[in-house]
Amino acid sequence: MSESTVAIVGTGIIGTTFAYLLSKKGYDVVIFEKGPEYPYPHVSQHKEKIRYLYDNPAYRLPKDLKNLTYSGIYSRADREREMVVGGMAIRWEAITLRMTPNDFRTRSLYGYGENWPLTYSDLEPYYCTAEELMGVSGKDSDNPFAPERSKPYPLPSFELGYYDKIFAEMLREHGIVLHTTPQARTRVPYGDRSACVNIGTCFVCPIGARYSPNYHLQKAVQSGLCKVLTNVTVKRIITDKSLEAKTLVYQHNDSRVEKEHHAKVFIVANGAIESARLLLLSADERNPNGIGNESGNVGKNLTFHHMWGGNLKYKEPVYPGRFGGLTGQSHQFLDPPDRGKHGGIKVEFSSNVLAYRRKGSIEQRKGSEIVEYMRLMPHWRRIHLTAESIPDPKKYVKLSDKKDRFGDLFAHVHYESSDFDYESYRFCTDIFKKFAFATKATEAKLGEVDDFDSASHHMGACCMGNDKRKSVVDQFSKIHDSSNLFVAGSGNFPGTSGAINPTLTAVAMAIRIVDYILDQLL
Amino acid sequence: MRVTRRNLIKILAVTIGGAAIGFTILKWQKKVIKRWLMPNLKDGPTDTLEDGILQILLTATETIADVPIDTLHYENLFRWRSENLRGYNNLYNKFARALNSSAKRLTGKDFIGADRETQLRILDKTYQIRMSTGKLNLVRYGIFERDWILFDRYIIRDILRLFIRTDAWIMLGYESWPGKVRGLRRYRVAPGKIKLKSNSLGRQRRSYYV
Repeated sequence: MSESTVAIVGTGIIGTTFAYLLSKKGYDVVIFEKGPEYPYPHVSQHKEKIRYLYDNPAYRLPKDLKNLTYSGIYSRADREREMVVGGMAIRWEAITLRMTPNDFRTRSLYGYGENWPLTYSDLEPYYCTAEELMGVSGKDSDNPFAPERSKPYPLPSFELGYYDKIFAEMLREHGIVLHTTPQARTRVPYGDRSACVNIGTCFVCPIGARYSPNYHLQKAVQSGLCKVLTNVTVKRIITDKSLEAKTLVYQHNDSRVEKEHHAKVFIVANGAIESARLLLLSADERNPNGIGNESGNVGKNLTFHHMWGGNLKYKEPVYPGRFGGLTGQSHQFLDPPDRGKHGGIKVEFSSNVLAYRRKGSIEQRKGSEIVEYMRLMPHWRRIHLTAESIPDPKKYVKLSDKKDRFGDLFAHVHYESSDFDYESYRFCTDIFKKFAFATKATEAKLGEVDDFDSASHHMGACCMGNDKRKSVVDQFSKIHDSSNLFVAGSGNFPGTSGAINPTLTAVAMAIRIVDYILDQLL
Repeated sequence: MRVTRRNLIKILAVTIGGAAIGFTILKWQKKVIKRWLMPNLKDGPTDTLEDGILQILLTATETIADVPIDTLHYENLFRWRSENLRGYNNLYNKFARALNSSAKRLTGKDFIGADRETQLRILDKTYQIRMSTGKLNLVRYGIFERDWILFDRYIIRDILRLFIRTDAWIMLGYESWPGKVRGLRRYRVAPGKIKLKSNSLGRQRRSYYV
């Protein structure tokens, strides 16, 4: 049996934020990760993937450890997850946006979803700290829709690309604002992190310019106060009758022996779906439906962003992909007049080149034919329209009937679009047409309504609220009625984070929770 | 035999049972046959790539590319795979021997000494395999051209994939490709032009504005 002051489940961006900040305050932390180590800086991974076209199996877990079952229309959630040290943020786009004040009060303002149990003002100082922690480059001077801030961005922004500037001018003539994109990517050197040099393969940045949580986890370990256990599966958490968490039961992935770990504070931060799964698997005599599930809300309120991809073709080449990150976005539609009938929409020009032609490229005889096949690639630009979504009875996580190698049930995801989502799609279609017209696209194709991508934004499933009949955790992500068990991350969101990328909000909340833990428990 | 009800039931039972067993065997065999006809890379030691083998690989690369390329990243790919992934060193050696053997049969010269048209004609076999459809072709190549299936899957496709991510971008008008340091100035201005110059091996190399 082992012991620490703090035990954390999951080494993603939320778990590592807790580990770093708590160890920095002098508390010993043990953090459990189901997957393997993922070296940082990501130099070897960059070489393997980019130079040597090698998808290293060492960073993949087998299907009897990492798996989901599905029903409904969305079956990509497991592919979107990463179970390695660093979690999904080892390959994220690093777009770090703040929710707007209205996003926290959709029930009061628009009659849908639930109000958050905290306001933008409560979280604002922590947004600043989160931006400093990750090194966010940005500016609001070109974005009239940005929420108020008490401190400037820590780093200057990445300017619009050449073609984004041209698009911005064209869109302005039609009353649409295209502005720069705040992102956790170093525009200039930041502490011991070097500046971005636009290598462009940001999903595996070899120099740490694009923020990886492994950066702070490494510092936590170097402090001597943080221990990372990899290749271990946390199977359940045991509480006493007052719902105080006592023990965490885990098992090395290649061992038959269960082990126990005691701690004063337990933090579950292994993603919306897996966190819900762990609570459900922790069912026992005291918690017959799972921990925190007296109300039956664990697993409910699962929401994804609905991101539709649109392809725009231009007469002249526009050369997508010259910058690895994103530059041009529009927050003009985050809070539209008809919000309530449908959700807010975020629009961004992607840096991705169209991949749809590459599949056919390999079927050419020689390089010159491949070039001919790809000839129109520089003329196409991809645009993403991300819609907020809301909880629905047809969106949930439950336990599957399929078991992992330890005999524990996997999670099952059921997800269907609701009328709100279909209305959001109609609104997206209108916006897409405006963008196509304003930028003089010669062709414009938007994905089908059920062909959306969640953008790996998995939210809800352990949602927060003041009313424990409708939620799992309180505003500090503490399980209702528990004194020391926290379930943190975007799984707490009562719905999506508006149409805004959730990570900055989740990190800001984690920092706020650290303050609470230090104040109340340690 | 008189066809009584009992005999009829016996006949039906044997027929159905036999069909079920036959179907199972066929299904199992299909998997085995398919696995046998679509070979995977065989295990083998990792090792340093010999210069002579590398030159043949790079010549094949230039032939398939059919446009000016920077061969350094292909060289890095071949060397790394040979030194780090089991089976590749053997495969590269086998490929080089096969290319030389084909070239000698056609022209009396080795692969590097043969003209470009002959080189492409030899490499075309992988293209035919890649584009083949139908069970008859699967069986034909699986029995008679197993090595060339491997050459296509583990060498030629790698070359094409790398080309698509690198030199193809230059041919399409980009100054550089993702994976190289491109700086934060170029993407903010209109795309520039590129100059070609030769490296010490006499192969064309590009210089890039930063």
